[in-house]
Amino acid sequence: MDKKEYERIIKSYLDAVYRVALVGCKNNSDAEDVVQNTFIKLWERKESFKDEEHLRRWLIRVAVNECRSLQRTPWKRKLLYIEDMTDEPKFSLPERSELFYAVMELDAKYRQVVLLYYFEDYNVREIAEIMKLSETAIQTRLLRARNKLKEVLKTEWE
Amino acid sequence: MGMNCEKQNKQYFKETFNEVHAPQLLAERITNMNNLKSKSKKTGFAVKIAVAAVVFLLVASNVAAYAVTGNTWIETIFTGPSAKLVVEDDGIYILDGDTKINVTETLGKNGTATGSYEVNGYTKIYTVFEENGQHVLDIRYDYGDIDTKDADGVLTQAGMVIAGTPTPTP
Repeated sequence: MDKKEYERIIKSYLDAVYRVALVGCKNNSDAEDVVQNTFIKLWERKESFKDEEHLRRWLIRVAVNECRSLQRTPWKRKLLYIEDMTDEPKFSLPERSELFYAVMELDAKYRQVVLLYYFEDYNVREIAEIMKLSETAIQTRLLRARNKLKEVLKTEWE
Repeated sequence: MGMNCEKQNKQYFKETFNEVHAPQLLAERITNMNNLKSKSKKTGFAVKIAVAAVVFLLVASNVAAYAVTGNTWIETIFTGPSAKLVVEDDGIYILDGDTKINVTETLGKNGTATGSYEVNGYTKIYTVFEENGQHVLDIRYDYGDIDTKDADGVLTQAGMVIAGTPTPTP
């Protein structure tokens, strides 16, 4: 991959990878590590991508895996939780902030599923492929996440 | 109602998470990352490592036990909570017997130096900055098992054991 193409991909997908990482790790410090590792893997990848969707899905899958690997790292880490982030996201409307924090308060195993379904528009089968889980597991996680969001936000979630 | 509600929720979700962006510094760091390899290829900077010394700064009460046997060395380092690692040379360090740390340094086009820090195949990238004429990696979020905390749980001293033979990076 040449530098120009690498920089184009960063420009196009950095935010998407960062969102997956932040939602997966729940703290900015680890999310940044995940993003870095994902792009290192991209830079080192020899094979080309079929199309943009293939590239996008690959980046998201690597970021999901990197989040998992990070949980297994033997290093002790000083966790900066989302509430302590100095550069926490700023939202233009209070209800958006409310949704963001409601999602971040979900259990780790639900957060990325919700992001991939509601933000990235992947269906259950596609999320199952990305996360290497069964479709049933994804459906269950979505159902539980919706119930939790419904309870916290006092709105309907489908 | 179900489909409509789902559509609305997706819209709401997208509007919300579209306001979440990667920090600008992260974008710069990642853009500079691909200089890691190109620099070492061009300059061969990472080649001749005899003994790459790792020195910790800052705290007057630091204790460093240092033993050298042939080509291997063992170092126990205690440092303050800001835990800065001074890099004097590129090389591979072995931490706690099996944790591999691969330190390389490169210079980005905006003058930002970056250090790559590989731990058991998991690579971390750090910004290297200059302090008192030394190149420093800030590793405050990663430290080994030797740490002490005060009654409030605030880290007061972090330590790690580094042992092994620094070898040239390929």
